[in-house]
Amino acid sequence: MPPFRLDRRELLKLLLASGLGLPAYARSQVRRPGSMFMIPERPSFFFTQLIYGQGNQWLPHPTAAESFLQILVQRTSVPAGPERKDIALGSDRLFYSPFLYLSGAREFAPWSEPEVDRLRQFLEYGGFLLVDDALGASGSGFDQSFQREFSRLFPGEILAKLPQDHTVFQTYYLIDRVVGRKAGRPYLSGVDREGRTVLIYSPNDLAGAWARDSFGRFMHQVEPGGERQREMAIRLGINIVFYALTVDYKKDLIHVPFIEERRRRRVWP
Amino acid sequence: MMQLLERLGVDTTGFDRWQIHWAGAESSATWWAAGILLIALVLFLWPAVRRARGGKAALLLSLRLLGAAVICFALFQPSLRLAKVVRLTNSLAVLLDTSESMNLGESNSGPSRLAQALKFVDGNRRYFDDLEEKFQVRYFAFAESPRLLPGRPEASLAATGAGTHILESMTDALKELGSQPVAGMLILSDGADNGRLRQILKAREDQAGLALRIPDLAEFPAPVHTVLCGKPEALHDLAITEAVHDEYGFVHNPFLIKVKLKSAGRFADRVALTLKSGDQVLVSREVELDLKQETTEVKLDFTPRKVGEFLYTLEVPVFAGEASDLNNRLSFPLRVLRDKVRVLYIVGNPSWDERFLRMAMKRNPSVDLVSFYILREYQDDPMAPQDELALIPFPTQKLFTEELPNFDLVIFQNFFGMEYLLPQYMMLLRDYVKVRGGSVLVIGGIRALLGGIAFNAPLEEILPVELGPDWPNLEEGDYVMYLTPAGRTHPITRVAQDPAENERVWKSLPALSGINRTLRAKPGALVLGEHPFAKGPGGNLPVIAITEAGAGRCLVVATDSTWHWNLPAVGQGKSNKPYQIFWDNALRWLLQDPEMKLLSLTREKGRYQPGEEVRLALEVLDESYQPTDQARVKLEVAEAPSGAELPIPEPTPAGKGKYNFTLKPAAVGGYRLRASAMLAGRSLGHDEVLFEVAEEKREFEDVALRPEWLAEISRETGGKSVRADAGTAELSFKNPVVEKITGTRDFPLWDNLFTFLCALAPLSLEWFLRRRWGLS
Repeated sequence: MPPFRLDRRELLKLLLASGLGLPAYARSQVRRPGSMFMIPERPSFFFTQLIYGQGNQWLPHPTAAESFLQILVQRTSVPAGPERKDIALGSDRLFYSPFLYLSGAREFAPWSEPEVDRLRQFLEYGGFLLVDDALGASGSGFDQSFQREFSRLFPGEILAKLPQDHTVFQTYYLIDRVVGRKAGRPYLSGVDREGRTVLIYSPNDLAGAWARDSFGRFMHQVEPGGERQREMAIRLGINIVFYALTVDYKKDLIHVPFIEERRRRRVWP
Repeated sequence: MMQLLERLGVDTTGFDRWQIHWAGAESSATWWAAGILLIALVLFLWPAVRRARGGKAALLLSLRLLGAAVICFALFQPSLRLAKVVRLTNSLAVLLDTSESMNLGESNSGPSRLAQALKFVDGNRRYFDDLEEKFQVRYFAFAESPRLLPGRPEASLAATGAGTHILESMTDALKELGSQPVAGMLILSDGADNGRLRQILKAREDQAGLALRIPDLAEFPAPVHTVLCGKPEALHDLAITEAVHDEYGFVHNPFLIKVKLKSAGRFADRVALTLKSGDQVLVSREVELDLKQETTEVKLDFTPRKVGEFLYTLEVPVFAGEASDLNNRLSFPLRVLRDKVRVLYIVGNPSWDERFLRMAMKRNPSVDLVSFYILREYQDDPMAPQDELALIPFPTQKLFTEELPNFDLVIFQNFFGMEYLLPQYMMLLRDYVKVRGGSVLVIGGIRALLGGIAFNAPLEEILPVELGPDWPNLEEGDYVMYLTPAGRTHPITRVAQDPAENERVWKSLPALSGINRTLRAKPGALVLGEHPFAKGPGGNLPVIAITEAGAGRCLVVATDSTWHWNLPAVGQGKSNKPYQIFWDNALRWLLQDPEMKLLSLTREKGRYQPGEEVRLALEVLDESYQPTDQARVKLEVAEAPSGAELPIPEPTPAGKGKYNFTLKPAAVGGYRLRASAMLAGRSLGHDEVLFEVAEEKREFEDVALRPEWLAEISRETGGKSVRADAGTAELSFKNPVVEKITGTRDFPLWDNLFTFLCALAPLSLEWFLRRRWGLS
C-alpha cells in the first residue's frame, strides 16, 4: 500500500490556506486524506447557490455555505467541495449541480419564463432545491416573491408542510424540531414528484445559524433557543443534504426498526 | 284447367301444375304507378260526377274505375305459369360415436359403450328397416368429425377417435347430406363431448344463470334424437378432471392449485391427492369426496423452492374396477420465477451517481433493494450521542455469512471493502459468484477497483479487468465514452434498436468525468465501452467491461459519473432515457434474464405422444450477441424417466447460429434437455427445455356419461332423448311431402288486344255519356 504523500503544491496550498484564515478549505483538504487507508477525498457534492436579482441580493449570508460545508465534512462521510459554487438559472452547468440553494431577505423580480421552465425541468428530472428565507419572518419580501415564483413553477400546487415522519428528519440525525436562526415557524414545506421531495422551503433562516466570521465565530444570535437551537439548525442542514443525496434510503425496511426503537427510547432535550 | 288449356291449343305435355304469376307485383314501382293512376282518374272525374245526379254519377264512376282496374291489371303483367313438379325423399343421418371413450364400460369388465350402441342398432332392425324404407338414411361414424359408412354399423367398427365433437360432427354430417331435405338425425353416443358443446355447457355451469344458447342447435333444421349408450349409475371411475392455476409461480411463495376430482360410483369416501415433481412428493392431502355432487373441488398449495421450469404431477390412487386409470393423474409444466430481485447495494459514500442509480432501480417494482451507505467514517464526529443519530451498524457478518445467498446481485459503488470487511468475506463473495451463480456490479470512484492487495484478490478473480498495484487510480478529466465493436451489438449497451441510431445516441451523451485506471481486460472478458484516448498497458482504458465468472456474472463500470447521462443530458436538451435503458439492460444481464441468454433452446409444444418426433431448435449467439456458426454445441439429457433411453442425434446446422435436433422419446414421463455451447474455448452458457411424453388421453380426462348434454341437444332441436335400453318408440321422424319445381312455362295474359279493348271500352263509353249528358 503506497503511503500518503503531500506534494509541494498541496503543501503550499495548505500553508497558504491556514495562514490566510480559510479554515474550511484547509481542514477539509487535510482531514479527508486521513481516512484509514490514506485514500484522498474527491469532492462530489457541491453547495451550489442560485444567483438572481440585483447585486448581492441572492447572498444574504456570504460565509454560511463554507461554514456549513466545514461542519458537514467534519461530521459525515459526504465528500463535499470546500467552497460554495454560484450559478445562474441560465447557466450551462446548472444541471451538473443537482443540489441548489436559494436564499434571500427581500422581494425579487420575477424570473423570466425560460428560467421558470428550466428550473421546473431541473427539479422534475432529479434536481433538488433548498429555499431559505433569510429574514425568518412571515410575509417577508423574499417569502412573498418566492411564493409567486412557486405558483409559476408548479401551477395549482401548494407548498405542503412536511410530515414529522418525512425521511428528511431521519437521514442522519433524528430531528423533531425544525428551526433556523429563528424558530417562529417550526416546519419545513415542500413539493413532491414521483415520491421524491424536489423542493424544501425553510422559513427560519437556516443559513443565518451557520454563518461565521473569518475568525470562526458564529455571526448571528440564534433566537430563542440559543446554541442548542443553532446545533439543531446545523443538523437540519446536514439532514437536508443527505436527503438530496440519498432520497428515501432511510425508509428502507432494514433501517425502520432501528430508527423506531431509537425514537421510542429517546428523551428529547 | 289443364284440359281447358289443351282445348285452347296450349301444349301442356310434361307439366302437372298451373298458377297465375304476377310478374309486375315484384316491383314496388308497379304498386306506385297503380296507386297514382287510380287517384288521378278519380280526381279528373270528380267535377263531372259532382254535377251529375244519382244513377248517372254512379254509372260514370263505375265505368272509369273499371277502365282503371283493367289498366292496373295490365301493369301487374299477369301470366299463366305451367310447372313441372318432382316429389323428393327426405334424408336421415344416423351418427354413431366412435371416440375412444366408447371403449369404456361401466367397469373394466362390462360391455363397452360401443358394444351397447351396436347392440341397439342390431336389436332394432325393424326400426332401422322402416327408416330406410321411408327415408334416405346415411350412417356416419364420428369422433372429432363424421365419416360416412357404407351401410349400417357393424360389429367390426372400432372406437379409436381421439376426441368427441358432437356439435361439429352434426354440422359436418348435415353438409354431407347435401341439398336433400333432412327429416332428422339420430345420434348414438355416451355424450362425453370434449369439443364446442362441452365448452358452452361448462361455461353455463360455471356461470350459473347465464343464458347461453347453442347457436348450432337453435338453427338446426331438423329434430335430433339422441340415444345414450351406457348406464351412468353403473359407472365406477375416479378422475382428476381439471387443475386450475396461474401461468407462473414465484419462488418461495405459496402456489395455489384448484383441483377438480370427479367420482362416479361409490368406492371410497376419502382419497389421497398427491402433488409430485418427478418422484418427489411435494404435498399430499386426504380429500373427502363429495358423494352428493359428483365433482369435488380441492385447493392444494405448495411452495416452489427453485427457479426454473418443472413438470408437476397430480395423482389419486387407482381403485379396482375403475373404468379408466389414465385419468387418475394429471401433469402440468410450471415456470417458477423470482418474485423479487434482491439487490444488496453497498456505497462507499453518498454521491450523485449513487442517488441517480438508486432512483433508477427504485422505478423497477420487482427490485427489492437493501442498501448500506457509509454515511459516517471512523474519523467523523457527528457531535451527537448515538440515540440522536439515525445511523445503524453495518451488519457485515450477517450479510456476508448468512444473507449473501439470498441476494441476486451485489453492487459495490465507490467502496473499498478493506475498511469494513474481513478478508474471508471477499472469499465468500467470490464463491457466491463463481459457484452459486450470483452477480456482482462494481462501480468506480476513488475508493473502487484498487489492486495490488491481498484483501481484494478474491474480488479480482471475478472481475473482467486486471487491476494495477498503484492506487488510488482515478484519472480526472472529461471524455465521451465510445462503444467497442462488441458494445455496438451487446444488449447492455443497446439503448436504441437500430445499430446506427444506437451509436449516434452514445456519441451524443454528455461526457463522463473521471475513470479508474485499470490495466487491461482479462482474457474472456468483453469490453463494451472505452475511454477515447487514455491508454493503459492493454490499450484504451475500459469503461464498461463484463465477464462470465463461473456460474455468475460480473460487470465493471470504471467511473462514478454515469449520472451525467441523466440530469445533465436533460439540461442539454436531450433525453435521460438512455441512462435508464442502460442500467435496466445492465441489471437484466447481471440477473441472467432469459431474454439475454446467448443460447436459446426451444420446443414446438409441451406434450408429445410416445414415439412422436420432438423437434428442438437451438440458437447460438457469441458474446457480442451476434449469431455464430463457429460454436461447438452439445445437447444432453438432464432428466428423463427412469430406465428411459434417449439417443441424442448430431445437430443439424441451419445457418445464422441455428441448429436443429430431432429426437424420438419412447418412454412416458418428463424430459429435461440441456444445450450448451463452447466458442474459442469459452462457455457461452446453457439453456434447457422441459417436455412431457404422455399418451393422448383427452378422451379419458372425463369419462362420465353425459345424458343431460344429449338431452339438451334433443330439447333444443325438438327431438327426443332416450337410453339405449328404452327402445325406439319415441324415436319417430315426420316424413313431410317435399316437392321441387324442376321447370316452368309462362303464358302472358296482359299484352294482347283483348286486354287493350277491355280498358278502352269503359273509358270510351264514359266519355260518350258525359258528352251526351252535357257534363263536360
